[in-house]
Amino acid sequence: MSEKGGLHGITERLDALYEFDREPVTPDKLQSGPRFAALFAGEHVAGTEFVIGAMFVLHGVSASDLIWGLLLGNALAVLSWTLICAPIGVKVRLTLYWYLRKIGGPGVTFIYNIANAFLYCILAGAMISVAATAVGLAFGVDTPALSAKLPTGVGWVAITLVVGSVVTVVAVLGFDKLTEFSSVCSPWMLLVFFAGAVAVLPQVGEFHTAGELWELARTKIWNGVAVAGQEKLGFWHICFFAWFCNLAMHVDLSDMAVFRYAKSWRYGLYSAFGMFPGHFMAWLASGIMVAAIGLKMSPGQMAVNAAGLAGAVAVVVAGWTTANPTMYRSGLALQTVTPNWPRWAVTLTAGVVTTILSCFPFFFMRLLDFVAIYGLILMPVGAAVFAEFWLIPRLGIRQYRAEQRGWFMSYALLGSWAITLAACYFMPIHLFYRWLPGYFIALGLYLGLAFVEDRLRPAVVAAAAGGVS
Amino acid sequence: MNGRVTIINVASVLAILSLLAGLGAAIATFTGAISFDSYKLIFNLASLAWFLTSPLWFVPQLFGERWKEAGKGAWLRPKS
Repeated sequence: MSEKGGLHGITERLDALYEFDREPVTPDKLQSGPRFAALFAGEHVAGTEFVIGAMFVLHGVSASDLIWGLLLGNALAVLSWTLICAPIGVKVRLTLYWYLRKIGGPGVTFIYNIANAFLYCILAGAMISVAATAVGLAFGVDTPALSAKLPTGVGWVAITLVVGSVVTVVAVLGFDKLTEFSSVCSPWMLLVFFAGAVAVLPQVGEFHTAGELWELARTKIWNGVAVAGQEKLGFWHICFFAWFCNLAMHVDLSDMAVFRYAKSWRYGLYSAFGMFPGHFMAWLASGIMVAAIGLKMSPGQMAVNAAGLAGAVAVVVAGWTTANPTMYRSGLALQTVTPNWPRWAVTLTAGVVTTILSCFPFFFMRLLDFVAIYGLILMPVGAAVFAEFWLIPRLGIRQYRAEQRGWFMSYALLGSWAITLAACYFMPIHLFYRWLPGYFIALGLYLGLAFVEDRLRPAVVAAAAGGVS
Repeated sequence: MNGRVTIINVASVLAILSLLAGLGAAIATFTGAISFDSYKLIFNLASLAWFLTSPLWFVPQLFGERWKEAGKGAWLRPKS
């Protein structure tokens, strides 16, 4: 690719979009710890929780594997925020976008954004499908079967198109007030999960003592038997899932955007306020809810059974509050490849793609795998940024070579990204585990390639205005 | 200003009470003290109360600049 190619115009537009947060956060803008606790608590109770916790039941996870796996996995996730993401965030005080630009050059940030946009569209599509399961109940439209991949009927397609259109229109019109209003939903959502699960427990079976309740959980909910056609998952699957569920945010470092406002790297511990209510309590709760309706994967039906009309509203709201910002981010990323398009047109395009994807139940029925793939695809970039920050200076390699020498893209980063993903693809281990050895492969590859690139690749121009001529 | 602060204070208390009512109803049906249908009714009413009151507490800026200012003087200061 020519370093003077048309992509330069694209990256300039990309920079312009993120211009507002180009400078490091100043000390007067730092936020208090409780703000971080509230932020994490609000972010991690979403529509996905209705699906993930239920999926664990259908995948035959035993009660003890689930509890211990979630406790360990969530603790590892909190430690990943605290020890990997937060220290870099508080030291550089930049978003990943701008930090990656110094490391990989504008070309890599462009590719990263496009990959992210596509993954965001799939995630938002899955959330629209989840919301559609609740809306469909009102019109007698059944949720597709667990094994369904393609649209299952006119009714399902119509419901997903309508829900997707509404979400898209809201995102296009940019109803700021509606988005602000959505912040009141988080505490209530948490209550829907907790109260709903507590209320439907007697429907699952009879119990009078704590011992009988545990026996009920062990035999009627998380009984260790996968439903037909589903792979059985155990302790390590759950542990790794809880750990990598937000890989894009902690190990892949996108939450540098959050921690650049933190006073200390210890603020990473506040992520526990999101993990344990959202990725422990809510997942257990949705498992109880799916058991109460006879193991049918229908978030809408689960919630309506557990909380009536409020449950249906919760599923729609949960789907919308996840899909709406996701669609916005996707539009922001896509705006880089749509020269001179207004924001509404880009968001509309992202919305149309997302809505079409939402018609395919495959994406929400295979949400566990998608979450794994999402984190995995972006993981080598996180590894490279980690290596650049901590290891490169200690190895005598110059930092930020792409920025210093005016490279359009760092081939070391691009190469380590591609080779790591290829290696992960061929790994003979479960999808859930691949990111961890992949991370070390990415670290090693990046260090090796960066060393070679540092020695052999000259500067394109004298670092003038940080540009490329 | 004082009137708005009082309204936000009352709204925040009612919002917390509505969450507690929903939680209490769930526990009551769990222990068998009330029927499942009664729980659903109480939970739905509590949810309605939450959505009517919590915006004043959480996002007073939605109602204008004066409410936003009043929110700063409330007992439980809203997220800005």
